Amino acid sequence: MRHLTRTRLGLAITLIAALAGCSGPCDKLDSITGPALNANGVDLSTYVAVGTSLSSGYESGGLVDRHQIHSFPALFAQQLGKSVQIDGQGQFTFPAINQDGIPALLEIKSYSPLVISNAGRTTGAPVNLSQPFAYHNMGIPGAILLDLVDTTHYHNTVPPVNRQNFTYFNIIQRTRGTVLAQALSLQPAIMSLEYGANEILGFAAQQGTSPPAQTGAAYAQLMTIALNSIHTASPGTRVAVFNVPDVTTIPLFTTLPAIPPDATTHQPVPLIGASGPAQAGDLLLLGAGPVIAQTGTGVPTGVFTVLNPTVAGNGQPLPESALLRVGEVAATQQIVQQLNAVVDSVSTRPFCAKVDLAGLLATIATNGISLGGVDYTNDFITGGLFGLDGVHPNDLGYALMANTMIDAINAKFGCFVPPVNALSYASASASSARPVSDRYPLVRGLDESFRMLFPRQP
Amino acid sequence: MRVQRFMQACALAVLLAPAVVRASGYAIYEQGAAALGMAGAYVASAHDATAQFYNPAAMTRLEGKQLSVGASWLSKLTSFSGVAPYPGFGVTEKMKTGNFFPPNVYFTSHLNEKWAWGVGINAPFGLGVEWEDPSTFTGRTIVTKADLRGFNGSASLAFAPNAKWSVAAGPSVMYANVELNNIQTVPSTGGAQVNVAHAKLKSDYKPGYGFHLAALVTPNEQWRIGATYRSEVKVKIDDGDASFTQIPTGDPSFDGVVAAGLPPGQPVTTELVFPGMLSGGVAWNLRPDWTTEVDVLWTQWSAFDKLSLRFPKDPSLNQDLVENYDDQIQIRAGAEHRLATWMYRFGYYYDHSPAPSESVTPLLPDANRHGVTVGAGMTRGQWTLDAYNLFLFVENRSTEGRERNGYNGTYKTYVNALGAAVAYHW
Repeated sequence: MRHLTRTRLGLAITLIAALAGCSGPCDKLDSITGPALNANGVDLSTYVAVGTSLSSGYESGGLVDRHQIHSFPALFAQQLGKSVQIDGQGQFTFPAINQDGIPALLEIKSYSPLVISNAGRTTGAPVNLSQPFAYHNMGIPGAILLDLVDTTHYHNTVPPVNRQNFTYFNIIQRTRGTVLAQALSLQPAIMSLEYGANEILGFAAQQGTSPPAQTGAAYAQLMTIALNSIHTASPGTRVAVFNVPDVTTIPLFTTLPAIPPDATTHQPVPLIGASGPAQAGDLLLLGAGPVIAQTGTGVPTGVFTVLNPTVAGNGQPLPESALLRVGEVAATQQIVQQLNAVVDSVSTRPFCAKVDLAGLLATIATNGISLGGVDYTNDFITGGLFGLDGVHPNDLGYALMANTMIDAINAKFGCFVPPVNALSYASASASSARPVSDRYPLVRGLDESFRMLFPRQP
Repeated sequence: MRVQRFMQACALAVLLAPAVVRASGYAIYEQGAAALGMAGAYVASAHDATAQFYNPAAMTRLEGKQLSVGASWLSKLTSFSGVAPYPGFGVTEKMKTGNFFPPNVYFTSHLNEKWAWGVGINAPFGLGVEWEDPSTFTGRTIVTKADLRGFNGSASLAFAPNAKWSVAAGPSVMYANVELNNIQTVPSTGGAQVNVAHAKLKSDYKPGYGFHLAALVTPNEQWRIGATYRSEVKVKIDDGDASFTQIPTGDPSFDGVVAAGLPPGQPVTTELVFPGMLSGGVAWNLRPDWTTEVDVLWTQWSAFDKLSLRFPKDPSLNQDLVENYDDQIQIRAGAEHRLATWMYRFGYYYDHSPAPSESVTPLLPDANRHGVTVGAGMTRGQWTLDAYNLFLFVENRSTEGRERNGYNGTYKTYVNALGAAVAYHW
């Protein structure tokens, strides 16, 4: 009988314990900490970036501190444990620009019709212009590879640079010597070298033409000079060399059709350029949108297309700079391939790692990238990866660039730099010139959004 | 007639009971208090009215008429911890704690010495998922709430040609419905995901039909060998409703565009698949007062390859939720010790997850399970009371970076079940 009582008691205790709750298996799962930096013998003590607007953190038509701290070099530096401050100081310095940036960043004023401008915003000013040493981020908007080693042209208005705007050179290079000399003065253990986009975009985006045929050869020569100079001056320095994306797949070229459908019949209507009607494969630059919509320029007389649904076409041709003709597209892509062959070649050097930026954009432009069940694409405004200028990434896009660079460095040099938590850099707006006052994110162009939401059958 | 009304009432109770995942996938094998005390290892040794579920052939070994009414109290805790790239390190999420009370009822009787029959209503399949803070839940584009309920009505006819052999067969009808909720988002210009609409798919109960076969061999008083097969059941949902409810952002212009682009409510169809199961077990009465049993349960989870949602009015909304489950085996072992006035039971089972890493999602965060059970029972006259407790330890399950939607991390689940059944025989 006593045995029976004990057994019953034991059973009762067991059941009460089950009812009363439990610890251990019932606790909420602890958060998982990301893997730590493991240099694995690789010197990652000092990082310096040289390159173009993509390195600088340029976004939505301007350069401003709130996006500069999310440039891919700044994100990479943070993964190395460096402090990055919004005033440009800290362990990874950059030329911080306050207010609404230089120039003031674009913002969406209206989306019906779509109006994007920086009217009413306040142009910023450099914050740490007097920093007595070179910036760790020497990315300069508008820079080409020649500017890395050039000692004569970066303030000149003569060929081959023929540069009219020195603003960013004045702010970032500050006539303190060549970009490369300044970078090396910081004794970098690792560098990123990102050039080539402006060699292409300078012609395709601003002149509507393909780059000169000799661009590839010149790029190869300059790349050899640059890398030899780095290796000679600092033999231990490792270099992450970016290849060049196919710029014809960025929203600047892919948003507006050169042969838009008629607004009522939906039949294709070739736009008119100075050298004739658009052909299949021609690309229309994004910047031509307003003149077409507001004046009917580029549209046959009396015709309404989806680009000018309320204004009749005036029959006047668009300037050729508004169109990248199909032959120029092919020539541009051919030059891009030449530049990338150069990067492929130099990346075989033991101290060089190739960062496949071209592959990243190709993935985005073809299949998109799925993050958290949402597809991110190269669509303008609604794709979620590009800023409002249709050329430069938003913060999330820069985070993906940082991860592409990290993958390349880890694979080539055998270290482990932890990847960036990309979506934590997704923000409400690609134009955070000031603290975001919007109560809700700026989302525009919902036709496209809903195509993504509820994709139609082809 | 009273029994019929009672069965109808129990059927209604099953219909209204919230569902929960307790076995792998969305199967619920816990259908009897005495069986659960032995970790569900009951195919061979079934000796009460729950034989209608575990092995209908055993009904020929039961005496007189038996009615069993049972219910369980289930409590489930699930949490999630994310990794990069999405939702990222440091992100943790939690499901709402679920408390559920699914009932079951069985009745068995004899036609004569060799023939017996039985009927039963239970809920062998179900899924209950609801994540906390749905508007900010990082997996909200996949699911915020899901509810799958399947209740089964079955009838069996059993025949015992001799004292050693029994066989049984019968039809079953499964009534099931489904509800799936998520939140639709669009990327902002900065890449953040903006909630724009609640999407809800919901159906009424629809029937699907199946059958079951069973056999029991009793070579001597010490050994019993049993097997049961329950066929796959497909339930065609042809009258589901899809609704899309806008989430205002506060921007009238923006909301106007959203409203203009929002799909209208419309019909949706799908087919729910409830896999076939084959169970076999051997029971050994090592002493007159002790019974032990080991069962193997095979489930044809490969039938659950996808959930296809079809929108007849707008095929562009069609969607396949790919699952690609694998067939799966459970091992169950249990024992019962009969004392003078009562009995106690205990057992253990291992339930291997059929879900590949790609399909470990917020909708079905499946994982390997280890169930430890204890139970007790007593008989007083024509009444029997059984009770059990199941401690279900679910292994932490990592998506191993392969989750189909890119939503990666580790899930942790714990389930406790406390149940009881009252049986009356006459």
